[in-house]
Order: sequence, then C-alpha cells, then structure tokens
Amino acid sequence: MALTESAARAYLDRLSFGPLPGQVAQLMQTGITPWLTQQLNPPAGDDAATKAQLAATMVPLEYTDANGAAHNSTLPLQYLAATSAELFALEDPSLAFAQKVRPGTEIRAATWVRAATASAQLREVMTRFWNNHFTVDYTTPGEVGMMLPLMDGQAIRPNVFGNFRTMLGAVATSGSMLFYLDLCDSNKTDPNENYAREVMELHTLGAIAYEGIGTPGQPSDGKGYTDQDVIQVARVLTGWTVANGHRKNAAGAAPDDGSFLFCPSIHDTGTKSVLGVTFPTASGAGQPEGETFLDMLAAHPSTAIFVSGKLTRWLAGDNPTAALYAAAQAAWAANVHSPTQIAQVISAIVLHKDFLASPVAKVKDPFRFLVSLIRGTGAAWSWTPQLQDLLDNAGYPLFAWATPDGIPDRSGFWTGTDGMLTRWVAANALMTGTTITSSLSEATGDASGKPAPAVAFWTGTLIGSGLSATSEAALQTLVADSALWGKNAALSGAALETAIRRLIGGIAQLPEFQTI
Amino acid sequence: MSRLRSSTISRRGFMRSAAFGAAIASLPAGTRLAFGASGAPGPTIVVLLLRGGQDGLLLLAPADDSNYVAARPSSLRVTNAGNGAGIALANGPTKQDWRLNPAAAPLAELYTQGLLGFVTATGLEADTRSHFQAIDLIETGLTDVAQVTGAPGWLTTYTGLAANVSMLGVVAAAPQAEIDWQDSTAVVTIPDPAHYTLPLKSDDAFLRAAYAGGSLSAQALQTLNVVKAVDTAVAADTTKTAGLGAFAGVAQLINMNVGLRMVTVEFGGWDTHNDEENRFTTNLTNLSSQLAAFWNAIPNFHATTTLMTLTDFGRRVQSNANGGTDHGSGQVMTVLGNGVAGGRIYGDWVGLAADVLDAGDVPITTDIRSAMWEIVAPTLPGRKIGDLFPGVVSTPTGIMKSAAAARAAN
Repeated sequence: MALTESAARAYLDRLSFGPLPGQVAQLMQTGITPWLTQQLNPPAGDDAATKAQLAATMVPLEYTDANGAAHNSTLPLQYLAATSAELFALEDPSLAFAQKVRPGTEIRAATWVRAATASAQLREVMTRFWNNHFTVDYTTPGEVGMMLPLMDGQAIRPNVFGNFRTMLGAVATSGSMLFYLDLCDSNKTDPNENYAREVMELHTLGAIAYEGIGTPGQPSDGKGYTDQDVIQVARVLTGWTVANGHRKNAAGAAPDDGSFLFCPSIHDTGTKSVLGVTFPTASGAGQPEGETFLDMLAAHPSTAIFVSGKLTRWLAGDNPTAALYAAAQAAWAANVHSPTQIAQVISAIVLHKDFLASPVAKVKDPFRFLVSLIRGTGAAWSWTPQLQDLLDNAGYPLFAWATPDGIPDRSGFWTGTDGMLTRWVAANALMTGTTITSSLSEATGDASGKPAPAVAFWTGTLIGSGLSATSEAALQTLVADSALWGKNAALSGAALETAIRRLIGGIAQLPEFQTI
Repeated sequence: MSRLRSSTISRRGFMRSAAFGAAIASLPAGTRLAFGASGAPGPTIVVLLLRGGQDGLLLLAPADDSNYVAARPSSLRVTNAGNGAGIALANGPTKQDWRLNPAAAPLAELYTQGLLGFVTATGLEADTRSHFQAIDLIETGLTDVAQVTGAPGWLTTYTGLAANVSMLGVVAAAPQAEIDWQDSTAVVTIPDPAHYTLPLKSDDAFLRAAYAGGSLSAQALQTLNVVKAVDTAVAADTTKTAGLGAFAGVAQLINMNVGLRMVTVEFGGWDTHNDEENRFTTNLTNLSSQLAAFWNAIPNFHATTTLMTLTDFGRRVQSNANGGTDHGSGQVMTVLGNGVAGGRIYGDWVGLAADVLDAGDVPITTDIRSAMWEIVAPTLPGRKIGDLFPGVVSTPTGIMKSAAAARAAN
C-alpha cells in the first residue's frame, strides 16, 4: 500500500537511523509491510558495504607502556570477531588500560559504522536499544570493554528480533555483564547483590515491580519483588562466573578463556525463596537454579509491561497511546516462548494504526541526530575521533553511560539548553570536519553554483516537503551570510563546497531535523 | 548498579520538573533578564550529588565502636591506629573517637576552620534500596515512589519560592538535568561555561529566525539567550580552573556573578559493591582536593555560598565478600560554607548495635528534607518548610549558624 511522504519519512526516521537520499520516495511506493518484513529477516552478519567500511576503519590507540614510553598509533579493527580466549588474553598485567579495553573501543567505532552504513537498519536500531537496555560501561572495569565484542556480537545482535529469554540468558553469561555488575566476583560466603537487583529492576520486571508499586498507567501485578528477593537471588546466582584459570567447573577443570563458567564450590547450596518460589526447584540444584530464575523473569507479567513499554516508546515516541502499549504487551506475552518473540512485538507496534499517531514528535538523541545527518547527505564518510568527541560533548557516552539504567530515551532529556546547543554545534562541526569525505557540491548536481538550487536540493533531501515557511526564510538569511554565498550570486570550487557544507549544517539545525 | 566512573563525572544534574522552565518563564521578563546585576551577590546553594550511594561509614565513623569494628575489616573502616589511621574530629555526636577518612584531609582542614560540618544518619524514611528510586525520592522530597510521577522536584519548588531569579539563576552544571519529558521550555544546563558558545556567531541570527515558532521554539530561544549571557560573562571571568575537576564550571558560574541561586553538580563513583578500599579512597581523595580547591577559587563568594552533598543512600554496615558494601540506608551529608556552624558532627547517633540497625543498615535519625530545609532556609526568608516540602516537620540539627542562633533564642 502506497504511503504519503510524511508517513514514509516517519517510518524511516523511527525504524532506521534516518533515510538515505531517495529512500523516502522508494518507501512511498512499496509501502511499509514489504520493507518491514525484509528488515525483520536480515541475513546474518554485515552486508558487503558495511564490511568494506569496517575494514577501512582506523581507530587511534594511545597509551604509555610499563617502561614509560608513549605509543601513539592508528590501527584497523581487529577484535570484532575475536574468540573469548583471544579477548581474555588481554588480561595481561603488562598491558596498558587502553590496550586492555581496545576491543570495546573498536565496538564503539563499529557501532557508528554499522548504524550509518548497514542496509539492515532496523537491526541496528534494535541493537542500539538492547545494548542500551543491558547497558555496560566499557571502562569499568576494563574487562567489560575487553569482552564487549562478545556481548554485542553474540549476546545482543543475534537476538534483537528473537526471544527475550534467550537474550537475557546470553547477556547474563556474557563476560562484560558478569564483570560490570560484579556477578563474577560473588560467592556463597557473602553474595554480591549488584546484578541480582539490577536484573530485576532494570533488565526485566522494572522498578514498577519493586515492592509491587507500579506507576500510573502501568500498574504492576501487585506482587512485585522485595529487598528480601534481591538477597535471595544473589544466593541463587552464586557460582555464575568467568573462567579465569582458577575457578573450577563441575568437571573439576579450570579453563582460562574468559568464558562463562559455573563454579559449584562457590555456589550456595542452601534453600532460597525468590518471588514466592522455593529453590532449588524440581529443575535441579546448582546452575539450573539461575536458569529457572531467568525463566521466571522472562515470563513474568511485569516484564511484559516494563520491557514492551520501553520498546514501544523507543519506536513510537514518548507518549504512545494506551492501545499501542496494550498491543505491544499482548504480543510480548503471547510470544514468550516464540523464537521470534521480539519481531512479533515490533510488528505489532509498527503496523498498529496508532504507530504514527503520536501528536508530539520525539527529539533525536545525539547519536541518532549525527548518524541521520551522515545518512541524509548520502556522502562517503569515514569514522573519525571527532564523532566520539561530539557524542561525549553532547552527553551521550556510547557504551560508557555511568549507571546501569542506560541512556534515557525521552525527548525532555535532550531539550535542555546544553542539549539544544550541542546538536547545533555538532551539525556544523560534522559538516565542516573531516568525517564526510565526498564532494557535496557534486552531489548537489547543479552547475550554476547559485544558492537557490542548493537550498532546494538539500532541504528536499534532508527534510522533504515539510519545510516550514519560517525555516525557509531563515535559510535565506543563512545563505546571505558571508561564510556561505554572501553577496555572490554563484560560487565554484572550494568556496562552493564550503558554502554547501555550511548550508547542510544549517538545515540540520532547523527544527524539522531535530525530531523523528 | 556497577562502578560509576571514578574520575570526575558530571553527567546529569537532577532538577526534574515539568514546571521548572515554567517557573522561570512565569517571572516578569525584566526580572528574568536581570543577570550580571551589580551589587552584593545573592545567596547560592550548590547541591553536590554523590551518585552511587556514598559509604558514610567509610567517610566518618566512631573508630572505636566495637560493633563497627566487628562488622567490617579494617580496610573498610576509618581506624584510630596504625598506618592510614583516620583524622580525629572534635565535637562528634557521641563521646567516642570520631574520625574522618584520611583521604579527606582537605575536608578536615575546613572542618577545623569551622567552615564544614556533617549531618550523620540522615536520609529518607523510604523503603527503597534502588539507586534510581532513591534519586527520584531525593529529587522530589517524597517518601512514596508511587507519588513520584508528575510530582515537581524540590528544586523546581525552590525556584518558584525564591525571589528575583535570573535567567542563570538555577543551573545544572551538566549536559542534562533530570526533567520531565513533557517540559515545554528548556532547563538551563551548562556543563562547561568556557565552551558554551556558538562557534559561528552568525548562527545566532539564523537560529532565532528558524525557531521563531514551532514546538521547540521556547527551548531554542532560551538556549540562545543563555548562550549569549554566558558568552559575555565568561569572557570577563578569571577563575583558575586547574585542579577544580568537577567543580570548574560551578566555580566559574559563581565567579561570573550572574545571579546564580541554585546549581547542581554531580560527582559519581560511590557504588562500591567491590574493591571498595581502592575505589573509595581514590574517589574521596579526588573529591576532597577538588572541593577544597573549589572553595579557594571563589574567595569573593564565601559569605554567600553554601554547598551540601546528597547521595542515593548510605551503605550496609556489614561488608560483603568482595571487599565492598551493598546498598544501605542512613547517609552522611557534608555541608560547607561561611554560614555553616562547622567543626561539628550533627544528627543523633544511636550506634550500630544489631538491635538498632534498620535491616542491617544505619538507621535514619534526621529526615534529610529537614536538613535540606535548614540549609536553604536562610536563602528563603519568610518561608516555611512546608512551602518546600509539604507535610514535613522541621527539626533543625543546628548545622547552620542561623538555625543554631534561632534554636538558642527559643
């Protein structure tokens, strides 16, 4: 079914990191359903263009070695497909911190490349969502960054459209999470409660279920979990740790490859009670206790409310209708055991009649803002440290958010004075820096070098026919600035390229480009 | 929650408000723009959020308390003998050997000078050990999480109560403030005044034209006004920011004398579930030296500036198996300023015997809202605690000179 321009643009704004030039027109013709079906079933792995871009990506590595010598080099990505043993080999006291967390640094760069380049865009949008839902900080401790390629590549990416329980288990046993929330250091003598609390509060049941509280519009089931449950869960999960050469598995072996290991000798074998269930259950003592606990969480009604609600806001905006929430929640609950659970939930949200009905557009977070600008230009680009700096300045530290709740996903978080300012500044910085490598005056496809065709082309590309009269008038002021066309009727060469880049930076600062 | 970055972070302030921007916007325009006014500076409250839940018992404790000694290894205690012994503090709440963690030596100096005091065993009587709920409650001054949604933060309320608040009167010194997403105008967030500018000056006119209307118009125009004001003021600012760390921006904002009444700044890294000895020591060393440097960097504003700390909660009395401590209850509030009746530890201390602990945690003896009120009350003449925290009863600890005087007069 054919779409209006505004609908097609809204779908691409929300379900991808922004339309490429020409993509809106394409989607207007094909309609959403075939596009969504294709996006929900992408081939595994990176497409050819993304592979090429990843292969060309160079990321600086700076450190001071044990002898005090400074090292400063720029190296290609080498850890994206590394095995656990290869990554854990960086657990070497002679290595500097930057070397230790290098795999995490590479994932940060690869996240940019994939978000801007991958044709499986919805997979990238959902990868960002789930990585942020299961947030880790790649620097605290260094092992989090060291093992990050496995969390991103094996726990998150293969499961972004799959079954939530599967992803929850993969994350729980991922080195990055085991180190980040301290589970790898817990033991029966005095269990660590960090992961035990956050897996319920942040990953599954939600704070709405703590003490059975609930929030307006999203009541809990009235039962909830308590501090006692947290303490008991910590005991259930003792023994879940990382193979470090010292801890022994059930077979008595002590592998040293950084992989997940259940260590019976530090597991609390006593009786526990969690959410009213007595452990060990019939499914067995030891590691099966933790598996049963994760089963309970994944199937819990509070998890359906909390996680499907968060996902609905991620895709549809800050204020979904009650019907949209309900549809997502119902799809979640109905597919708890389905291998395509999350895809079903996404379909239920995206194909719902209320999906595009949100009256207030959502403000782009800084990552989405910058990636959508790169994509919107259709330009050739290469990853530069500038991108990371712009994100840090904007208060969006990729894989480095300090608290395990993840980066907030609501417009108001990005509309304080610093939020407004950093987006504007970043737009110009991106367009005038070295990240964009191809000629945008050539892309304009106009031989005259005059401002009017450039304004028409780039507003059409980046904003479409929705450009307001106010914005159009403001752009007339902008092109008359001496840094752009000034009093010149036409420009050529480097002056034209500069003017067009400044023009695109200006268009990206318009209200129309701030929201999805 | 895991280890917050132990370096100085100031990522999020914690004004939450649908009404915060509106409170500013509702002031008469002349009042709003009266920044940079000459004359005596008004009072400034610095709210320092120690995100993560600072272990008050490793900051400040009766080192000779037998229950304390029994609950933790010496590495997680303030001790009174040997290498790394705590700094003895006069005027503790009990006749015990109260000591301050030696990593906080710069704070001990301020304490001795009578500029810095502590309120011990303070917090909110709310049954939460969740970081995020605890912060929500501290921001709203509520004890019931179910009431948080839609409730105004107390900073918002403060802004409404304070007279003559300028455009730069209430600031989060961070990229973002915690706000209600429905907020229709911008919260003033200034992480770094020195880099708070539009590099291309012509963008100001362009952006004013572009945002003359539309849904983000109010936020955009306020941003442009704030940027212009900061640009002007920072050009004349001579603050030496070396060594100020997380407090560099706050010191500049104060020295700029632009009518700052309330500023929030964050210093995280206190969620010490493991390896607490190293992490806490490093963090406290940094915080203490930066805090002392901050105080020295604002010599003209000592009479008008008061700083208070807030943290999610204190930590469990008993340490865990990983050389750390889990989420607890009663916290220690640190208060700094000329108006502080410093050199004393305030708040009732009932000890750490098993029968007085709150589920293994330091029991709260001072409602933190009462303590916060006590600290901000001198800046809100004629107001009552109920204006800021409805339904809360004031029980002054005496930590502010004005409150001490008032209590003595009664």
